[in-house]
Amino acid sequence: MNFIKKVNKYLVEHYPLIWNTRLVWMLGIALLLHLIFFVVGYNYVNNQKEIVSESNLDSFYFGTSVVFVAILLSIIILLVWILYYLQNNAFKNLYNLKKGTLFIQFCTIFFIFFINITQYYSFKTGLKLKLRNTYAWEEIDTDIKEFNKLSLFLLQTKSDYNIDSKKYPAPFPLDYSDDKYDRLGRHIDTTKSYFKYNGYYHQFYKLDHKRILKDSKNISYEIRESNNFKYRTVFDVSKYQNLIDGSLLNYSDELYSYDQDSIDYKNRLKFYESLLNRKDEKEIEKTILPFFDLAKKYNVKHNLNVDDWLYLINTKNDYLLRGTIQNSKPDEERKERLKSDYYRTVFKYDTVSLAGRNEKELFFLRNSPLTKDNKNAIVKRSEKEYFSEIPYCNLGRLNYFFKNVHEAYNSKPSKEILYVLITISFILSLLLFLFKVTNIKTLLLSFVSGSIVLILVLLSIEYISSYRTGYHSRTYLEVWVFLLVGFAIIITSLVAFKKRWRKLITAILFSLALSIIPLLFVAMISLYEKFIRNKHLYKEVRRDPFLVWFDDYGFWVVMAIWLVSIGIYTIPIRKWKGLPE
Amino acid sequence: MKNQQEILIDKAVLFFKRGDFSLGYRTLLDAALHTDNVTIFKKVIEFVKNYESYDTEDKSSLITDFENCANTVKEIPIPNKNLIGKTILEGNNLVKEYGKSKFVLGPVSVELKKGDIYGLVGENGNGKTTLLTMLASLIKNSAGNLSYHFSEGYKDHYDLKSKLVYIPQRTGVWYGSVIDNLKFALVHHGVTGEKNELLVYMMIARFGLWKYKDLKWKELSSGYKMRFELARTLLRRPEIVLLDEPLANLDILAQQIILEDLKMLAKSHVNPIAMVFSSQQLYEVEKVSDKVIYLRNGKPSEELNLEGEEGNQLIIELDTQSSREEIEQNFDESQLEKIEFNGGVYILYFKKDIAFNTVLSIIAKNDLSIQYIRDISKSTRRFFVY
Repeated sequence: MNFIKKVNKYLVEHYPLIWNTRLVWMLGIALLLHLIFFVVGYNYVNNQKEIVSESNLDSFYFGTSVVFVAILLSIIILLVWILYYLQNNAFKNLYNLKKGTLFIQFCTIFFIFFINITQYYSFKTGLKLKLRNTYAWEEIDTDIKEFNKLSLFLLQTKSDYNIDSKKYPAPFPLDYSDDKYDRLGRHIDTTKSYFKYNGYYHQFYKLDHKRILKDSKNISYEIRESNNFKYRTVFDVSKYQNLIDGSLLNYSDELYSYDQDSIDYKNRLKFYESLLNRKDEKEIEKTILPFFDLAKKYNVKHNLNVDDWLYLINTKNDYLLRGTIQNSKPDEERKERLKSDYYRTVFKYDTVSLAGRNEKELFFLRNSPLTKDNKNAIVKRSEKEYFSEIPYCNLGRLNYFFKNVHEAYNSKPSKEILYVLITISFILSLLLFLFKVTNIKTLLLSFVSGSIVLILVLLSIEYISSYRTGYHSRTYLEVWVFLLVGFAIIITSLVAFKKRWRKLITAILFSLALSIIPLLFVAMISLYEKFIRNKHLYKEVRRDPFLVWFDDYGFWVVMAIWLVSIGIYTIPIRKWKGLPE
Repeated sequence: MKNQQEILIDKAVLFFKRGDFSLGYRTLLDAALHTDNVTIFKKVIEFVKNYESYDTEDKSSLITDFENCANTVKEIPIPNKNLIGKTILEGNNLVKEYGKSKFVLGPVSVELKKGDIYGLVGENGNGKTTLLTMLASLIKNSAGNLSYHFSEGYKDHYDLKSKLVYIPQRTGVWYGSVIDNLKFALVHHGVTGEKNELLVYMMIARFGLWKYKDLKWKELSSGYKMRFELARTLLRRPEIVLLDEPLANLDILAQQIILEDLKMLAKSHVNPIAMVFSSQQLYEVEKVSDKVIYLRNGKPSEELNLEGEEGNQLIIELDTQSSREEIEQNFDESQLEKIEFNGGVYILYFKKDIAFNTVLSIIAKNDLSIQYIRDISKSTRRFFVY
């Protein structure tokens, strides 16, 4: 307490603004709070199970009760602070204030608001540090690469093994259309190469998307198959026709893409191609064996055994898909349903006596090998040998795990969240600042006036647009009316000050002007964007150098303009306070 | 030849020696404040601590310390600045009209000079507060000219208002401790660090707040809140102070002390202040004021031509159990012009050349029983008895 008194005494005798805004204490409290949230973030996850509970690191804060605790703490701290801050008011008591003091005061309260609502960053920093301290990215990266290599054999998603997923060798990847026998020509350009397989006609091709875009007047939409014949460059891939039924040879997916570059991917496809082409089951067995260690390391639940797995891989039969490995342990009901899909075809030999057979039976039996004494025929028959268990491999939320660890190493602070927090701090600071330099009556009347102006603007837009037609004219109108009213408010506020209108009216106009300034700039940019969109090409909006620049720096520019406007307005606000009623 | 500061210090010592300890103490604090010297403040505050901790009313045993302290203060030479009498505010034909209530104040012409105290009297609703707020530039005058002549000019209206100090009847609510609020006021006027604290302590002692310095503002009584307000005001070194009913809600003793303080501060030879205050305490106002402005229906007494009505005749306010006839019997027709009775007191208008002492001797001679008598010939009191 003695220390607090000493600091307060020093501040009130030397730095009244810092004393009044309680900046030192609020900074201290904020730092403490940030430290607490950092520690909470650090201890929030302790194992893989906890790490996979959320899909990204931000969700550990925004998707849990942590955000509510943070908001409540911020509200409590800021409300108590506001009570203390409002206790002393040098401006209202007409103490001798230097010209920049009001602006510095605004900046100070903005800073206080900002540091007291940004616990998210400390929490996330703690969380990231914990993940980085617990898991080495080099090790995780190696495991991701191993998982990706193995993913070819995991047989989890049937569609990944379809021919339209195939990316190698050239000319793959290709677009693909098929027609039934009786509907040939509907999706297939019969003037170009196609082939017949398994009851369907098939055609593989590449589309000239640049021409499509050009011909469709730059309006981006998917062109229907039946209309894109002229854009097709067809390839004869009939030698791959058996892969249409689904095969490991088609698989070209990437299981976990975190920090995996395109070279890794290309190398993996090359590895798949050479491995599969060798058709060496022993080598494939060697390739899948690391899975069992990885599964243990990352708690992947499965019941795979090498024999069943190799059987499903179907090396000897062009790796044609025999069945998938379930992605979760099936329950009893599902097990019964799936049981009939998982079997081996095994051959058995019966010794059948030829004695006493009629001619027809003897004709059939003599096609089979006979025993040495020629009295018996050895008849071959096939039988279904069902898997003892339905194979499954539950990777669960392993992708969340890799994603979160990857984010811990690579993510930058979220720009959008920073924008939101700065905007909230700015709005709260402006409200408090206006209350501090005027009074609650002015603030409430400003809100009422602002609402009335908004209603009038909306009614005007409705009224004017009833005489005009067209979507574009309406969107232009909205922005133009808003700009007109906005600039009118700013100009009127300055006229009111210059011409010495009633102080209350001037104060309301000041409040409205300061609130509307950032929106005006956003509206002007929106107007420019609409102009570019309507007068030029859609794609131009994305290419326009100003709009691209504004996308990156627009927020900071608008905020800077807002801040400068507040700085400029503090000069008339100071003079306004000195005016007689 | 002694200068004004030395005379003030000698007066302080004299008061203390005579047994007027409080007056001597306050006078010495004023003299010490004139020096604006940190060493002096330290020395004086040592004495203040001693003085304030002394429980008995008789503080004659402190005379040696007091004299030592006075001698130390005297060591700092304060030349005569001759600021008293310098015009600080001029208002010519000031008018304030309120559209809705049809009330019109003025035209009023005032010229405030440093060191002068102006009393503003009148019944409720006659424009006292309006005139004060108009002089304080809080409200705009509808007509007339108002100009200020501060020792240092003002840059803008905010600067002007920070130089004008208006204390309303109902002072603002303050939060936090007395001392912090005073330090906060002072630091904005450029006094920082050790001097800030010492000067605040000096002002606290000067306005009798020493025992309450560690309290919060809300813990002060009405009288001490007014003292706090004056201390806060004086820390700003104003050249004009405008007070609206500063004596309201104060007991008689507190009123006397506040008035005495106002007079002492206004007449300071180092920092003289032009002071205007309104009050219903007519006697007290007239006692300390150099000039009294009486307002009726928004018009000053000059405008109403009330001064001229009575001329130089003697007017007496008399409270007695005797009947109107008995009073008339005591004075012959050549002496008494008229008697008015407003239900409480009699107002006796005498013919020219009748002196107040003559009237007193007649009353004594005739053994007329009276409770209260006052010569109100020059007092605005006479305007309140119509």
